[in-house]
Amino acid sequence: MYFIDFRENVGGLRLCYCALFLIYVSYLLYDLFLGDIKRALWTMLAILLALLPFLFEGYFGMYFPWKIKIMIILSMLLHTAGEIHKWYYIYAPFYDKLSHIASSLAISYLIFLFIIFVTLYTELKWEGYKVIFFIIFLTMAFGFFWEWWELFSDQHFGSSFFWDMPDGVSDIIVDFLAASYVALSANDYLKNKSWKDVSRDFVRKDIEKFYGLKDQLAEDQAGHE
Amino acid sequence: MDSILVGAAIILIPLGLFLFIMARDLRSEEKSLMQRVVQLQRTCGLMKSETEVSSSITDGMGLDEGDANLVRNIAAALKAENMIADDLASAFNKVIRIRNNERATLRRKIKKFKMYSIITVIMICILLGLLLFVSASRH
Repeated sequence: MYFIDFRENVGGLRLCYCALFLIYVSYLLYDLFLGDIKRALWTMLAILLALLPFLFEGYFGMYFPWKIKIMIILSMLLHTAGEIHKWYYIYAPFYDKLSHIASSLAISYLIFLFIIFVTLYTELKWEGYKVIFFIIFLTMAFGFFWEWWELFSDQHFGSSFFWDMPDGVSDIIVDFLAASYVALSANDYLKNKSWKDVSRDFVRKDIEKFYGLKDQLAEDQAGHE
Repeated sequence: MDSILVGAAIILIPLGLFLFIMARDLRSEEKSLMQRVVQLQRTCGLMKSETEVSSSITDGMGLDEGDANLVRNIAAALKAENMIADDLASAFNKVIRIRNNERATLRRKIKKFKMYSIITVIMICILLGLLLFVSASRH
């Protein structure tokens, strides 16, 4: 069972994405209403990041599954809501772990998508073990980088993100578990699909010539007919 | 300063390794395509006099299976059209042209990939530099 299922109920997922987006916009308005410009800027940046998949879809002709778009906005929304409502402190340490799981899943899927797009663009054939290794390796790198940022911010900007070492280590363990889940489901997906199927899942039809896949897809379509 | 270097190492080393391995695999893909073209040219040179299209012609010559099949198919198509006397040599030339075009396209894509990789690394360095600047200005 893949997390990336292309028979996804696009209507329902789109509605879910829109609901999350509206919540995010309401947080932005709330920040502006309070006159907290610094936090409003961060919220605005997060909203722009959540919209990036649409930019990539428009510019590169990629297709980002709605579940991944939802994971991206959810991971950032959890972070913003945790700060605004102080859930990080009220529900410590569970809320932090939940936020780490969502972020790691989103980052792992983005790494997987990046590998897929480079593979489709250059027709590089990577074996499953390399994909698994790099999904886990890069997600862990981002996880360590986040912990480093927490420490750095505490030291230089007076924040209190990094509580203690056990909390930091358990964050990394949670990141590892989320990355492993994505790596295994990505491996499962690639094992059961040919590259033609993958290209059909991730590349928009009107821009397939950008990837040099036009002939391949046309041939494939003819086969189906 | 040391702290920033640690952060830079944490993110840039894994990312650099990932991009380096991807670029290396792409280079080896291009090399193997080049070797296939050389093999096709060599086989074409050896078989200039041969006009009969058969599986034995392209078998056992060290050709890639996909290339051999393509040569056979094109040669068969040319023969059916009955337009060219030297079907096989023409088929080889056509396949060599196709593979050369593929190689040129791949090279262009590798160049683009390298360019985007370098831009990504530079942007991360700029962000870390900004962070260093902001943190230094607060002390």
